[in-house]
Amino acid sequence: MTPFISTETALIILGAFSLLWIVFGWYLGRQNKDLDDYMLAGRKVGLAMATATAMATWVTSNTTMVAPQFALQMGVWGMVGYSFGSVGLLLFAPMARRIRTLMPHAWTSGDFMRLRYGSLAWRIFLGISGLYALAWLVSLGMAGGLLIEALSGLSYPIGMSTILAICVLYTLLGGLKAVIGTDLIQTFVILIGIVLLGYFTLTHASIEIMHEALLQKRPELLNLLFPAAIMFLFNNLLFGMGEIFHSNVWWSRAFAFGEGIGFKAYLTAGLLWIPVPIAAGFVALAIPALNIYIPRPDMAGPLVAANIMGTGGSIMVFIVVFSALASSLDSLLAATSDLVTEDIYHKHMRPDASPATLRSAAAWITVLIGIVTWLLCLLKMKTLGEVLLLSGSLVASTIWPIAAGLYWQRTNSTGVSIAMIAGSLAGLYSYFATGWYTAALTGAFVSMLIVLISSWLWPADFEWQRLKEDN
Amino acid sequence: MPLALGAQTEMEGAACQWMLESDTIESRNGYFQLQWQANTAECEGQTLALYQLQPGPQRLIYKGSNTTLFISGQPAGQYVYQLYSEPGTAKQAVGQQLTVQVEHYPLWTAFSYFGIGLFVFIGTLLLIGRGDRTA
Repeated sequence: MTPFISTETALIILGAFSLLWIVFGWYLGRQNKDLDDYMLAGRKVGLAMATATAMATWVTSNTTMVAPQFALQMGVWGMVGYSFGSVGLLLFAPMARRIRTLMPHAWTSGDFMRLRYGSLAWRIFLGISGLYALAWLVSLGMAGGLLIEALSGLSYPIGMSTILAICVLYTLLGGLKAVIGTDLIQTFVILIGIVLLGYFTLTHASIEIMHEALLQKRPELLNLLFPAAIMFLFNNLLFGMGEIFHSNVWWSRAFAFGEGIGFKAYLTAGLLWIPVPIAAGFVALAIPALNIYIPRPDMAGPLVAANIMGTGGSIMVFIVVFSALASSLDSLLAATSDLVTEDIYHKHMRPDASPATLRSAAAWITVLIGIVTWLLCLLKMKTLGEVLLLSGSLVASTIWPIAAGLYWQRTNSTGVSIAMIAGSLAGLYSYFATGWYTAALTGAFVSMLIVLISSWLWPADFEWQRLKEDN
Repeated sequence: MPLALGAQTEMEGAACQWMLESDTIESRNGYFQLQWQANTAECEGQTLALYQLQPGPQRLIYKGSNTTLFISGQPAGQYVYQLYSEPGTAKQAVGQQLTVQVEHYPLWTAFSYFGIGLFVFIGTLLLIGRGDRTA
């Protein structure tokens, strides 16, 4: 495929934005004093920053690139189903408030699992969370490299390495403060880009023309009884819910937001996020009307932009996707580093480590995660993108263990351990037997049944005070 | 897996053999990817045309030098595709035909998954809503 922008232009954009993120990250993190500052931004993030970071992290490259992909694969329900991802944010709003109340001094989602359910469930959870984080990190790095290569001709290793190195560097310099601060700017860049692309798409093909062309060339995309799309609807909702409920990306923010902020921030971010996938995704429905050639579904968004806006559109997509990738990569790097530092290094290897030692370890672990991600991205394994979809069944199986664990005293450790394993296995079976659009749904369903039955038959009597024990 | 050897086209003296990467595809969701490839790197960049022969009248789907095409939104049915090289005004078939069988999931299957999803969603909503109120 012929590149849409020159390599020189791509290098200038990469250089300029990389410099911006690094300088801004350093500026924000220059007053970090202790581990609390570095890992949790001092636990006093305000409402505006909190809302922006929740929204930017959820507007990932998945939204900017996969929303058009889902619209092209699943049609109208693809866009709507993707916007159901906001439900995860909305439901996490009351959970964030509860988490902050029950565990005001905790660090990670792993802390909750360990204190609430004990070692076995905690370690199963760490396995699921670690696999998901690694799959997401690698898929982000690979997506960045592939997109930069497709748009500019800049080789995959250079594009991928640049984006990873930049994110590691500014996360290292500024910790969570840098991540949240850059997220604010990245949110505006992403939203402006999506609105502009939607506007220019409509100037090239009206809704009537798009409708007519879809009916002629891809009629199922308009069919409200499109079977695979109907199956996809709740699968995507539960996948998103599983991602948010279990991932330390969202828990670390619940700990970092100031008192009383978490509920409002997640609720506002969820409401503001609802139209984003629809705005980002509907451009794919213009493809038949504009006769745009699509080699792969994940290139739908960038190719529409490049075709209707020429070089300017390609540059815009380049900046938007670079920002979206960075906003997710940095959050995931910081949150995974926190999880590894606290749950593996501190709790498994160095229980007596001082805060200063942990602060230093967190930095080294961020670099280490960056290197592991880079090596895996370098292998350019095509199947790693599929691993992220596969992880849908795993993360969805944590929905009920976490939600019930936060609100019910009767939920027990053995029940949730079996629920996570059986839910994951059932989801994986469904992935291969039926399709990727049923994996999370099946995993969540099986896990929910086991949590319900085990809590009813063998109720525990958990004391909430124990969640505050070692923090 | 390449199954069919293609017909030859001339490209700067080299004999190009083009082949579709499969001769049959089954799709349960109305989308699929078509891929074709040449036997040597020298043939890459050659312009080919992909036609849909069935159903309905023959129509041009793609013309150019790329070797991958993504198609979606197709109703149930049998679709037949054929690659052509177009030296001058003549149209010459390249390789053998590709048949795609689109058969969507039954609606009862789709709504069963929909119902399970709705059940899990409402259950989670109740758990969090009631839990938040009593907490």
